[in-house]
Amino acid sequence: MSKKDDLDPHDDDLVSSKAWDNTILMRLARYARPHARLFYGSFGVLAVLFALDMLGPWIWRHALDGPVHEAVEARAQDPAADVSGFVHSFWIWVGAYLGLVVISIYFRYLEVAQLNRTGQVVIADLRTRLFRHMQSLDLAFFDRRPTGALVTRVTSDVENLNEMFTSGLVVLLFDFVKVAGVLVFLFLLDWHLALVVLAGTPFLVGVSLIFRGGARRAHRSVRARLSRLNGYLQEVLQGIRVVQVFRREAAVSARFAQHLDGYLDANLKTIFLFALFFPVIDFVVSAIQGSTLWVGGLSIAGGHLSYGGFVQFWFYLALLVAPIRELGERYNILQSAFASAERIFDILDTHPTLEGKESSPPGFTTAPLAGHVRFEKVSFSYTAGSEVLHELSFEIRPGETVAVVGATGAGKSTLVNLLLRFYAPSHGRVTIDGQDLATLDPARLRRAIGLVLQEDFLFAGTVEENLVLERESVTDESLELALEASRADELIARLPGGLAHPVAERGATFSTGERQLLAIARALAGDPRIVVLDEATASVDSNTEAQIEAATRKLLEGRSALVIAHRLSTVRRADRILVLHRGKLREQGTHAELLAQDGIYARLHKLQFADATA
Amino acid sequence: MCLGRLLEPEGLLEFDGIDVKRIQVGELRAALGYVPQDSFLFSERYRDNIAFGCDAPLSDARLAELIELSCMREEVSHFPQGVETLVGERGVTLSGGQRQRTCIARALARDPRVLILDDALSAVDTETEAQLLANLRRAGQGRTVVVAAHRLSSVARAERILVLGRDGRVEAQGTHAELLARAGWYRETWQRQQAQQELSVL
Repeated sequence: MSKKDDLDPHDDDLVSSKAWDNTILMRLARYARPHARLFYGSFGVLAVLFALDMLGPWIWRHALDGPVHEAVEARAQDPAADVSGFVHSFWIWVGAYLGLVVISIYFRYLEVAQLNRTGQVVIADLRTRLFRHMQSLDLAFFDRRPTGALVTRVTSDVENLNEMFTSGLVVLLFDFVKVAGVLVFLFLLDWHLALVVLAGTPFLVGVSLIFRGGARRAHRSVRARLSRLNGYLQEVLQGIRVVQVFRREAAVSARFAQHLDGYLDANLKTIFLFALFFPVIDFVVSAIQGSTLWVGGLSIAGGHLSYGGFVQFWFYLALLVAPIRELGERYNILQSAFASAERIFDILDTHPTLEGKESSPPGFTTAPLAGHVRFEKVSFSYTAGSEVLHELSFEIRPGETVAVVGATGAGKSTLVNLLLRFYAPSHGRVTIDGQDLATLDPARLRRAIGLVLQEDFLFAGTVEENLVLERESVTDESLELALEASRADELIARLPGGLAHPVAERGATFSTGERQLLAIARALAGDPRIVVLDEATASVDSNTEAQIEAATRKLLEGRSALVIAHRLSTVRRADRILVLHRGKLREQGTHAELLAQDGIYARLHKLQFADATA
Repeated sequence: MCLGRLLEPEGLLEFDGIDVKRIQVGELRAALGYVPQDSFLFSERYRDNIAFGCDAPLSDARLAELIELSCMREEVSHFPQGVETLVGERGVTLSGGQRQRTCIARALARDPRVLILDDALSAVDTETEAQLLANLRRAGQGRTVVVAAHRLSSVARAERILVLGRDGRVEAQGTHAELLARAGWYRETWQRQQAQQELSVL
């Protein structure tokens, strides 16, 4: 295994980003807008806290320049003077300050709670949106991307945005208000001193901002490497059997360590920048403080400034420096959030190409589909040059059952993929009730179709959740009817907990027959107009077989159905049988008609249903 | 799986007369070339995938030989960067049959004492399958080959065929000719698959 070039320019994880991107910011603001009230709340809390912060030093000044100063003056005139009166009014100021501190503590709690709540609400929303969007994308999208990288998008990339909404953007915006506010107060207090501070500020901002460029690059590289590390880990765990049999544990560990090294390097670069940043910024801050002491001392000596005024100024200076010192850190958060946002938008901007549009006149659109399916000269190829289906034409009238038979690779599954619009035909069109699938709302299409696959997917959850699948159309009654009709109710009755019985991942605890029965019940519960059924070939015991057959009959009753048939009973009952051979429709007719033709169907029949007729 | 000690069986399983439980796992696995059912490949360069199980780097000549043996020469020559092409999401997407053949080359690269094909020819077309099996026979003089398959053409030329029943018991065993001579699952399935084969070239 050789070391690959580390930063492939085509790498999806390294989308280029600008230092400050208004477009990204505006888009993020759109996602935040529904939660505007939370943001206003955050600003409110921050504003109160700022006012309290400004009030504290003001109290100090009045305590020092008021009672303390008067006591000092009195003692200077008469060393034996009674100062107990001053002490009394001094305590009032100290008490006021303590009260202020208590109120501040409460608002600091509110600050953290409110900001984090805001962030969590916004990102939960964004995560849901992103996940929903991912699910709508074409299968081809997932073919091209490592699952690990997609997981990183929904987890850590979105988490980065959380940090941005909480400690990044809101606080940053408010920091600007704070800096401006404090500067105004500094000038009101002593304009000489304020000019000194103002002269030092550009250095402070400069250091913070020079730092940002390096931090941005380092952060992007950290994220890209983390995403790659995740992808590798996921893949190796998937192929753990191969790794073990080939005794590659050590080599794979070395490769993992290599990825980890890259990640560590990137992190160290970030850390180095931080380590350098703080001493430099502290130096600038100390220089400003030193100048303040010098000019302030001269002002006090010259009688332009009181001690209390100087103390108030000193505290305000700290309030001014803190947000500027944090500017780099905030920028950092913003940068890493921009990079994450870009990758998230990259996914949100990938649109499903097969998405149909509702183009029928309003009023008609909400009418349930009758289920009249037509394939008109449909051709299809997954890869250019090799046609899987060739000029296929047939129809399924409402209520009809059409069975498709054919050898392996004849194109039966492709037919189903086209009807479900997982893929679009290369030529020709598929219509339902006369409407081209290309212009039909996919949600409406899939609502109308009940799908039963050979190996149907059961999710981890309860049996009920698996049957309902969050479809609004499935009510308690329709579920009950479906269970009764499919006789799956007998199966449910045997389960401890009934409908609440937990299903292991992929339904591992159910037998093949039981899974098939549940899949049929699941389709029935949606009361679909069109049924697509890929009959299972796996054999089950004769009792379950009879049950499945009965359930299938119920499912097909009165519905338009496209069945990839493996059961003789199904083909016999079908209104029409399509014989697919090498992507072409070769024969069409009822069971009896086709047998009489003594063509492909007759031979297939002998092959596939030999067991059943015996 | 049991042979590679990924699973621990009851009873006795011997390798060269030694109970596998008494052979070091590493040593045991070193003797095995395994082609998994799911034809799992890594998102690495094509050559890295083939060299995956090798301790030393593969020479270009050996690599070419393995590609030839696994009937992938034609396909690899069409990859954008040949054997340097990345496999998987960021490179070429291989078809099921191509993946299976690549996995076979990967297993052969270790020149194993025992080659295990776990239903590893299912996606390879019958013509290529015949070529591949002939190559394996030619290249594997003295090598033990275990082929698990649903398609009987994969095993027809084996020295011995075991027919496993649904309960995991050996229902019948013998050569292809012996099994065909008897009525039973093997003969029925063979005839059906032959007919299906005939039908697919119609």
